[in-house]
Amino acid sequence: MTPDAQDSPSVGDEKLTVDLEFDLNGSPERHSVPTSTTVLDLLRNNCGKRGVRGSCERSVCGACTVLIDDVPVAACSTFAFEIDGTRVETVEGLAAKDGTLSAQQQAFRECGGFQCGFCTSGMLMMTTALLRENPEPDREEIREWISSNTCRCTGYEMILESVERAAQLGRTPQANGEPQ
Amino acid sequence: MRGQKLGAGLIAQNQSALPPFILYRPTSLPEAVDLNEQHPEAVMAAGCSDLVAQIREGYEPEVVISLQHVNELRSISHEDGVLSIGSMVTHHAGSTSPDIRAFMPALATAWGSIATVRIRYRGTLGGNLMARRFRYELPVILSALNGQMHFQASDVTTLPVSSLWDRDARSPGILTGVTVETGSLLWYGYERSMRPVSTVALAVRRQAGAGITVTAVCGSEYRQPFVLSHTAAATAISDLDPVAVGAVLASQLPDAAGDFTGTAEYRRHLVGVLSSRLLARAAGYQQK
Amino acid sequence: MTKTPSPFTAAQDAPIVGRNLPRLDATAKVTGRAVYTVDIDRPGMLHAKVLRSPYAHARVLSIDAEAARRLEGVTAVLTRDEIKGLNCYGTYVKDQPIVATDLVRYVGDVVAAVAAIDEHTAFAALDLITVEYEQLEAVFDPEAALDPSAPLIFPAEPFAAFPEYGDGASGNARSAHNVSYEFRYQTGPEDAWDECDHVFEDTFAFSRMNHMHLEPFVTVAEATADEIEVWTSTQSPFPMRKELAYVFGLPENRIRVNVPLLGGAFGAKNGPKTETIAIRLSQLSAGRPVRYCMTTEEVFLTLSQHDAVLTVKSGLKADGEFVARQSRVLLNGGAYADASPLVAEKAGYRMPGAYRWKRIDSVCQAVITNTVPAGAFRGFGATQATWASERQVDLIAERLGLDPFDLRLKNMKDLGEDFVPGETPIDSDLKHGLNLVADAIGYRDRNRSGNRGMGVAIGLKDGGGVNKPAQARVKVTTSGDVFLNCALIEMGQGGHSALCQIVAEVLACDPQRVKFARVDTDSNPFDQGTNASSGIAVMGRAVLQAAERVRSAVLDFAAEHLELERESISLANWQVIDAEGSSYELAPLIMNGFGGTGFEFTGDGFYKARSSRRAPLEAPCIFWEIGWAAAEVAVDPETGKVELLQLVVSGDAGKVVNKLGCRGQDEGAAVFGLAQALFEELRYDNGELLNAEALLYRVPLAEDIPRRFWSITQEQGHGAGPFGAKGMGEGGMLPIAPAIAQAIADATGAQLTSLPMTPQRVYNAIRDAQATKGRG
Repeated sequence: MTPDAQDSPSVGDEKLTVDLEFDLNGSPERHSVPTSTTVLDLLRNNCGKRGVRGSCERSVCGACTVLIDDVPVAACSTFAFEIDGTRVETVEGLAAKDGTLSAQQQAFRECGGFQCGFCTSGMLMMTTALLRENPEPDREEIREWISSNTCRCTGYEMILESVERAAQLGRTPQANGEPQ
Repeated sequence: MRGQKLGAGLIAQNQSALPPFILYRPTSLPEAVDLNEQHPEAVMAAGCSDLVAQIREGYEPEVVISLQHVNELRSISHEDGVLSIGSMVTHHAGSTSPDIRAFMPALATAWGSIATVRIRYRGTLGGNLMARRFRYELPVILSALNGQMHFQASDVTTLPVSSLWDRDARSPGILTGVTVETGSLLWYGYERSMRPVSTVALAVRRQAGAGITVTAVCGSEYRQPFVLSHTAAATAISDLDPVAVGAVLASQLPDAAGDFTGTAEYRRHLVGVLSSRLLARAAGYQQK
Repeated sequence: MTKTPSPFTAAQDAPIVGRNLPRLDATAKVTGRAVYTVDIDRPGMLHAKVLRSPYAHARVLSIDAEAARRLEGVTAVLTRDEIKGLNCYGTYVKDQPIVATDLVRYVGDVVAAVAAIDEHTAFAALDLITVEYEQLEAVFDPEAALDPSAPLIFPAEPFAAFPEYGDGASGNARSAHNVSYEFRYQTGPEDAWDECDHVFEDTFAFSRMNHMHLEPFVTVAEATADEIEVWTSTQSPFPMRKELAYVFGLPENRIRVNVPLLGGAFGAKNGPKTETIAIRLSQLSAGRPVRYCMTTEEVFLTLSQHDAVLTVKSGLKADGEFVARQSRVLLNGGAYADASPLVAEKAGYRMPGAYRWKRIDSVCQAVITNTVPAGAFRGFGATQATWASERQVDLIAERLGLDPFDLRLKNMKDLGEDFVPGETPIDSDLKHGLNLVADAIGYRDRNRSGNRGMGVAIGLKDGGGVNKPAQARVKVTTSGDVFLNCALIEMGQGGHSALCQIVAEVLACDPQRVKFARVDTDSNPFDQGTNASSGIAVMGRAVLQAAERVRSAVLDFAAEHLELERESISLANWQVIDAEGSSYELAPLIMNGFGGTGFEFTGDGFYKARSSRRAPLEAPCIFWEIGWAAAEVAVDPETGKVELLQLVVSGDAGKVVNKLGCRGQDEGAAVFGLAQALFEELRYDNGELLNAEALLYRVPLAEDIPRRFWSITQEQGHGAGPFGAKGMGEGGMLPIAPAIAQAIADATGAQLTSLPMTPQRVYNAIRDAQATKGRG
């Protein structure tokens, strides 16, 4: 058994970097990063995805939620080595290349499902994961999913309405600019 | 936060500043066990959520063994009246597992009620137990079932889940999974509506000879779970007086159970109420 | 020369103000492109980390940072040796040094800071610092701290300056042992007490929360001995500039404060937090940029709400008519004054609540303790005062066998009635709002079976800041693209969008054409800060005036060049419309008048309430911010668990500028109140802060919101802001805890006097109520 990394830095003969290949919002990424790098730092600093927000950084608030193979994950508490070979999605991947907003984005915009906006990327990714799992969730299922993340501004009601609206827009084909 | 190394104060450590560690990613259990033998100081990484929390509290791992690709740790099976759950089973996988739903639906329900949707996809059985944090819920849920933890080193060590806080932090090998004996189990339920003040997991088992044992575990935010137990000379749950048994269980809760969110006296009252409600549900269930 | 008129078609079929438009920052926020201070990255940027006190109270005997200074990659180490000659900061009382000097005053007080090429090196350097402490006796409880035998937390008196109050009000620094500031207010004849048939005195406890804004305190600073530039997450860029000028002894035009979007603030981001440390480290690092971004754990150790003990004595006539009220409020101000004097002022001043009294006598003391400093927090002063004031109304109603709702209506002030002499009269119909929320949940026909109960409460605060000026500038390019330039901070409330809508309304253009210019103190006109729900009512007036002046200048110009009657023309979609309805393109006209490169029309606006010696707080308030709420609960009497079945909150927007914005403010504020009522609190156990991190500190999640929760935005139309608007954002928090408390009493007879109303407290109160009933 040998450690993953091929290059320096190293401790004795043990390599301290890890090579990664993953899909990010539909594009291939290759990086060699220190083993201790988190997904949050990798996405923000190495991949320029500044829409991924760090807040509590111990997986409670969910501001940093991204999707890994369709599953919502706190990027702050996931190491980069864990996403090798996976498909990663961030808020930057929601809109179409021409800027057309996805159903989720349209819904949050229209229903005021944000205020300061710091939780919004994470809330949108939770919504994306939920609607993939169940395109027609009821209010209680939405509430359960949205309870994964913290919003300090809205009081949540307008976020719940945004998710309901996103589901509705997602069922209307012309309104859905979400990448498949 | 962590203590400064010379004792001069507090420092808000974060994971971004963590030095690189030596990383191993074994793909089989024997490989992982070998690595653990070679690196007794290594930390086993499962979902990593709690590992990162520990890093913020000052833990600086030098060697990390990621169990992500050890697929045998994700198995769930039910054989000869024993439910076996691998340590890398996530809360989501566990609570939706067909085996667990078939043989212990109440465990699946309890497991699916903890944490949040997002954490349930990521958090694992092993991570939840080995974090040894009072407020985590699987130690409560599984202690009431008399769950047994199995550790693999050169030998296998088996320890009850309820012993998590009995020993020092060293684990006797890699936690491979937890087993729960289902044959003698008559009823199980988990009450978390009063969380984080108090939670109660309660299991009712038929004794080998005669009688019925009720095991309740009381969890809370700042104190370790307390195991409470009562054996009655009954043949069916409906023979038990829920209020009386609840009171017997509650009286076993030590003064140490009191904390900032509830005095010991209030907690005893609460455990009595919640236990008796669970027992009443159990009796109703059995009558059906 | 284009004088050819063309037929005018209206682009808008409804007024811009009041429409249910998405906010103008929506697209940036839903695409992740919004830029916050945490996103600021400057070339060669260094990273700051700090060492915090492990002791609640200790003398710093020695600090040895030589090893840290020698570590490769470290550019600066900041200890008390590096702040000699620099001043302390604080709102009225300047008592907080950049880093601790002779004493550390709470667990978390900053002792030293380091700047280094990366965070890892900064941590490594901190680990090399030795500090020798001599532990001192600490005091955590405000009442205990007042005792002359308690340790004196500030042996030397800090510099303090405070307002010259008007009729009935007075302020004092260090009025008693460990008191940083004391506010008093009295009005009416003392002998009013003689008329009272009943006098009741009760004591209430208010809990302490953390703001838990998701974006932490963060600053990037580039500073030399002569010049400072910061990008920082602050609500108040101009007061920040003034404070930094004072601390560092620099002219204000050598300090530039840039403020990107804020990821929440809720009052926390007023005075210096990360700014002074980042600046000093940059100065010590030859002017290289230094980023100091706290972790959430550090935010918990930086600022909190004020917990309080409030003793209220109220006298009334036999028929329930209120006569006189005396109150004594002790605020736990924590280790440094921060905004405590302002909070003391408001907590004391707002004790009358929504009711009519002949005599008011209030005193509020901000007490220094060895706990996290307390400062501005959404609704401050009013949250504490409303809890005690409204709760006592319920206690009195119960004692006199009256309905708490009727007792409120009987004593509630009317629209237009004085709050106190010299103050702005009440500008909402308070009774209308109370009836509205009561009817919304079915209060009058309520079914109390199954341990259910309902409560209705009201809270109010003087809104718009104290004696607060605001300035704004609007400019329009040749082609009709509009800039709004003012220092209102967008922290989630939707202020930028609402102000742009006001400009669009005046200029009759699409709001999308109005850009909110970046906030920086070099370019913006002055503003006192984004706080006290002042954005719409104060800054909105300045913006309105600026926009009107631009419109006026454009029309003057057009009238002259088109040779039209000035009074007969109007502006719409950057066209001039004449009396016949014909339109004229402005762009060609402007280039014709000013040359081919064009011109920008500019208008400045200013607003401030007129100062008055009769007004207790220097000037009458701009408006009254009212919160009404009604709640229904079901209580489990065996466990004390409270289930919130219904919660309705209502505010009076005066006139709505953005519907989504108003709704969001009331609902967001109400959920702060809900959390304070039932579970959220910083837990101090004998001085030890038990839950200063995100996992243990419980904030509301979607699952905590009642299944029936909604807001009603009233438009009563009496506001002093543009188009009759009033401020929003804080009022919705005020009545929530009292409404829930009354509902618990309605359901079970249990009268709670302490927050949060935890299951144990509710259970004990139910038992007490049953015991009292048994005796009676």
